[in-house]
Amino acid sequence: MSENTQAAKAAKASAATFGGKGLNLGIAVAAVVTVAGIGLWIMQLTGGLVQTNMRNLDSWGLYITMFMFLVGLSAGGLIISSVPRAFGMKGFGGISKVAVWTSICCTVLAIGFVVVDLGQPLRLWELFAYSNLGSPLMWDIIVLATYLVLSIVYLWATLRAEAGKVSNTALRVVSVIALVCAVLVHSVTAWIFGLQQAHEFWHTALLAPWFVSSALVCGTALVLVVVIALRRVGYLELDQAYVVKLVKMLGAFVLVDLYFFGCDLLTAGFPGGSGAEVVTMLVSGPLAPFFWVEIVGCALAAVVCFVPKLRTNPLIVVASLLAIVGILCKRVQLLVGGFQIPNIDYAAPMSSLTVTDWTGGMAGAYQGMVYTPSPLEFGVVLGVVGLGALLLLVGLKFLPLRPPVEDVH
Amino acid sequence: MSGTKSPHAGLTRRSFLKTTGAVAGAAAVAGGALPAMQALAADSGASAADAGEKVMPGRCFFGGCFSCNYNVTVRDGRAVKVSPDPDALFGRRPCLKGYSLPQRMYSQERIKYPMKRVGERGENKWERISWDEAIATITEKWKGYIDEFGGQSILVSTGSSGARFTVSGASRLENILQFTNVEMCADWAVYHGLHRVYGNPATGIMTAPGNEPFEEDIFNAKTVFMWGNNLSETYVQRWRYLMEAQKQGAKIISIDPNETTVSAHADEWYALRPGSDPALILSMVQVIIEEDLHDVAYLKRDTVGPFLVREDTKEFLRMSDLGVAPTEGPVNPQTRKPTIIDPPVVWDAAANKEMSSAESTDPALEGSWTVAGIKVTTAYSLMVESVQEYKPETVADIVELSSEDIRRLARLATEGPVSHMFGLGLQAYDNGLQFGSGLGLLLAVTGMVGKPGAGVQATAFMGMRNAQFLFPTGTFTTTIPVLHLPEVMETGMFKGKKYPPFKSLYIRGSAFVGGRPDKNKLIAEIIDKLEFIVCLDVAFTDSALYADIVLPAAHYYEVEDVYGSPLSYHMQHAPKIVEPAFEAKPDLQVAKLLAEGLGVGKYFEGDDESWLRAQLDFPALKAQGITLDALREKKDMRYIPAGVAYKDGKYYTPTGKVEFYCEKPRPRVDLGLDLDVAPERLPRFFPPHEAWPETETMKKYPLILIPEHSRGRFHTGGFDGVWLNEIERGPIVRMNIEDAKARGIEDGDDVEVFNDRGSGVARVVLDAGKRPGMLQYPKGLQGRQYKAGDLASLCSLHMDPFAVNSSFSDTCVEVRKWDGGSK
Amino acid sequence: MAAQRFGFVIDTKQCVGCHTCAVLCKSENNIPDGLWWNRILTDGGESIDAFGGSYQAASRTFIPMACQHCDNPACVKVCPVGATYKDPETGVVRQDFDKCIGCRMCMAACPYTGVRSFNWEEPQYSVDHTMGDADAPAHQKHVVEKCTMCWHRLAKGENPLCVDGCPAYARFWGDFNDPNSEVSRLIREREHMRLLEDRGTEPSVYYLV
Repeated sequence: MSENTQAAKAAKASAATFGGKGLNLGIAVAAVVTVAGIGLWIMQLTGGLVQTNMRNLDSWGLYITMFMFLVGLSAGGLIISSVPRAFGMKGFGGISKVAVWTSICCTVLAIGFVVVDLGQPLRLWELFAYSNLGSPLMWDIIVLATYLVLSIVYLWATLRAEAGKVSNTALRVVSVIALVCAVLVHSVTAWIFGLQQAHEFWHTALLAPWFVSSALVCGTALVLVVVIALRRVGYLELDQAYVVKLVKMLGAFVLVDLYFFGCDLLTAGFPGGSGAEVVTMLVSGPLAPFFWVEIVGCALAAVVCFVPKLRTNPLIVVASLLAIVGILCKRVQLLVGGFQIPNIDYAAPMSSLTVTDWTGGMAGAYQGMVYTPSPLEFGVVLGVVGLGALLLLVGLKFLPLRPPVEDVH
Repeated sequence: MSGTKSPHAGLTRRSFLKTTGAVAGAAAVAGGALPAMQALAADSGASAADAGEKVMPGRCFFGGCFSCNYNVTVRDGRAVKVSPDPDALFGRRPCLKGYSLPQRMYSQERIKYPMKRVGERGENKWERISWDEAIATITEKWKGYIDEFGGQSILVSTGSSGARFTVSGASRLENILQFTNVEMCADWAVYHGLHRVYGNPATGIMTAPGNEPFEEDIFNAKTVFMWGNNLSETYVQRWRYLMEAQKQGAKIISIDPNETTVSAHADEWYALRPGSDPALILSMVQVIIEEDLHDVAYLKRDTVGPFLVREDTKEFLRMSDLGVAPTEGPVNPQTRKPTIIDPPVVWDAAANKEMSSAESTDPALEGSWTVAGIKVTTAYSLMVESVQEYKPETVADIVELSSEDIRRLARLATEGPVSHMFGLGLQAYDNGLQFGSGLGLLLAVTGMVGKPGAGVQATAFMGMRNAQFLFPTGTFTTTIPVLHLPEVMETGMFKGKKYPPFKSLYIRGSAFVGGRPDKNKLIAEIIDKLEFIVCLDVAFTDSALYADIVLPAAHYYEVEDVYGSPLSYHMQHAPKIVEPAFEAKPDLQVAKLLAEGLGVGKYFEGDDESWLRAQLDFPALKAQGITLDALREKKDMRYIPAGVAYKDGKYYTPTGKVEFYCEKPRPRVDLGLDLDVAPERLPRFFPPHEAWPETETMKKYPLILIPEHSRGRFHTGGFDGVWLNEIERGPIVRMNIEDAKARGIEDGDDVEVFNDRGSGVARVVLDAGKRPGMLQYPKGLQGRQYKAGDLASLCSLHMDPFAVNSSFSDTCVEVRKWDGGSK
Repeated sequence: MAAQRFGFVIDTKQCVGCHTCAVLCKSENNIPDGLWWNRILTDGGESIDAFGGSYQAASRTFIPMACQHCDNPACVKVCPVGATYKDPETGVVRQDFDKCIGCRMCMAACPYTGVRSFNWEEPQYSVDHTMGDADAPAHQKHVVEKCTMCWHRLAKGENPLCVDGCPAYARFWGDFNDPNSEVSRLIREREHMRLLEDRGTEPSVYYLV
């Protein structure tokens, strides 16, 4: 304890800087991974997206999966820090800045994943010149940008408030706006998929609230992991009671998320017909591994969250990771599942550009997962994640994100 | 390589753009802001004319196709696209074969330069050489062979795309040097059978008794019999006429073991056992006679039915037998000798005595008499007696149709006018000739020839030939059928006489390797034993693979040409559209180079144009005003008069009548064999050689493998089509679901199709339309396109000695999942 | 609503599945290898050309399918930059290759499986020189493409080539807003269907059945 306190004091003394060799090494590694990722991205752009496993009949893949996932992750931090403030509850003030910084990093990552998915990133300017305001993708771009800016503003406001330069009321206003935006960002991301009548699996009104609940699950879980980790390395101090509070929230979010999944499966499967195909695909079809990892993982996480005896730090971390992995599996199911059931599955000429596994014809293409990522895609994803890690670590090192000393005790 | 080379994007017509632009604002409501304006902002750049484009009339010259005429766009001296010609004959539009022709012309498989083999034969290792070196090498070798063994020691094999003058004309050289011509032996059985009954107006051409053009006459038919015919795949340009005829009331009857687009659209489909068609036809004839539905007047007037057949010789009783000396008729232009007139004898019903068939007006159709001490019976009676063996109740088990179905088909065949159309699959069995003669008999009994809408709807092949051009020295090639070639090679004997040894093979645009039956045997027994093989072709085929010298031939578009296609009833002209690509040369130019090297260059003084003019120079064409100049102007000129054939009741047979009873059955090609002609005089059924339940082969290999004419290829032509191969990916074999299940095979599995002769690996396509027990594969791919083996290696060289025809469908195989083993 | 609604009528009774319209589309538009704007689907067995069902009770129908030029196109709504849009004059759903950012949102939104294709690499050709019509749009890497309804031909007052080139005469083209057009007459007189009618996209391709 004394060590931590000392560290905190030392940190305060040196204004914002933190960390030692470990952090510096982390930053270096993240930087290298990022540079390597950029290299792979350039390779992807020059050699063509043909190097990914995306094809005409499965035209989105790991990048968009990660985009969805990262948008979800980004939610947590902001919501955790802004909800208590918005509703005037006694919250997790201590971790609020770290949580928001995590959100910012995740948002940047999400945008990064959209960019690496684009065929023509040099035409990005067209988004502003020729915006089609009717496109959910455009909505998402607007909302994500707003969200990013708001998160930064919110972080800045929090810091200014700590310094007494911004009133708490103003901070509260910002936090309310940020909260609304967070909810919107998930809904709009959901609408990119949910408004498409083309894919039965996506086309459901439930998708937006479900995205919000999934975001809360993985966002909370991420905050928990980060907080416990940072507490362990002495970056900050947080009373276990707050952690437990967070854990209980996570449990609740997990249950809501599972409930939504249950509702969706029942609604899809009950009438039989093509909806039942969706249920079969998830429960016992090509996507079953992802389905069961999610269900079992989330269920186990919920158990940890609700059984007081199990709420030990290691198990909390495990439960959080299970929840995060579960939601990632959910994203995979959602993305691949959308393409897994073609609307028109009649035999037709196929080439290596038609669908990932094209040699078996239309029937063969859908026997396993219609899409699995190529090594290059994993590499680029790693690069983008590296960028996120770099941002996060640099932030931790240089930004005054640590709780003020008075909050520690 | 990239599309960025494309001259420009956008539109060319400003007026069109203006109207679009005027309302562009509305687009914003639908979605994007100003999208239309953006698209229009781009300048349309160079127009087609600026790009140095021209549009030329072009056509395909696949030998058995229509040679559809269409437009070819040429840009920067290269063909870039095909588009339909609105004025094309009969509104014909090219099919996918035509549209992909420019692509194939510049394909990676195109032979670009002369090459000589540097590795082992078939190893595919080559060195580019000059034309001079190639010609010098070839002529030196050939000179040696000719000097030592004579021209016959050099084999020449030509292909089906050689029906045009620039290719067929090149056989002038081979005739001068008296090479041995390897005859392809494909698709002849049915025609030989039909010719036996109905005669052939022109030797060497596949004709059938019917009217033309199909595109007009089909509307006169009340009933259309489609005998194993899938013209929706093979002659898609005729499909709409058939469908329109059906709409106008024609009844379409499909007789096919497999379900096809035709059978699916037919009013009635009869799924008979493969290889049993002659039995069905003879049974139909039996029913027609039994039910008194036969056309007595036609039989009496037009056929040999009333002719008296001697019991002793089985030949017609002639007036000379009765002591009336034969007279001399007009000179036969072919033999240049006067014809001998010795009329057969009939029994005149009114006079109740024998009489010359030339005099009798009321010959008896049935009966037996003794005339001049000779027992005689009418040919008709003999035929009726012979078909009694084929009562529906007996035949039902053979054809696997009910006797009611057979009776119904018999009646339908009399609901005239009846048109018959056949495919070439059902004659690809050893009994294929019997289908032809059986169909001839059916036409005779039903009287379905010589009137509108009746007969065999025009299916005639092979181009015109100008004998004067082809045989300038009066010498010829010796023709040996490919099916007989291994025997001649082995024994050194042909027609019972010693024959020069074969030293060299000149493959000129032919699928000698892979396009003929029993690929492995032909390689082992011919190719491997020859000293020197030359291949002249457009694309690098299996034949080229086994050559020692490969020469690049000019493509259809690279030489002015004329094609006399009976299928189109026209002389068809095609200008030279582009210069020959790479170092390619037209066949006749190659012949000229070879001739000069061999010291007979004097027969080839001229150029492409003069050779074309010379070949067009014969009286029948000149009489109709068909000259090169006229063809250049009109593109297509009708040379066969339209209308109803055989209206006058005169036929191109020895007796001038329809000879369903054949006095002296002759083989299609005389191989000097001692043949028993007795069973051949009347159409009969005998089971296929191999593909029939009781045969030993079939006990071992219970599945029948038949080739399919792929819609994207003409025989092997088109194996190199990149687009075509994207549609029909790799070698496939179609198979019934039950057969696959029994062997644990699933859709898409790679299977090994095999028998004692060879094997081939293909991807299984499960197809409920395929008859259980039958496999079908689209032929024409080259050996190297297989993962292992080649399906062309499975068929045998066995032949019916009268038909001398490849029995491509008479093939038994077994199938198992491929274990990935190599060749 | 567009002043005109250009679209196709395809007679599946007349179509023999010869793939000519697919090949001529590739030829005319110089479509890169491996990509097809127009494909012939087999409604039957699991492979192209295969009959489904069982022997002597088998069935097979060919469905040529390209962009359906919907009256209510899902793709147009979702394109963030308006690179895919409905031409207000003709109702043709167009794709601006120069504008497309390659996000493939339209491919995800289009219910008609595989009618949109993406140039996943620099366009590849087996022939070294540029083939196809001089006025056909140039192909670019990393943009979405699809049937243009032969816009370059419409601009010259010609029909789409798949209509003029069908050897079975099974394809028709015209203005559905003109009651006197051949296509309007055909769908008045013949039984027809449209693909995925339940998605509400109002496709402008009618199949006579």
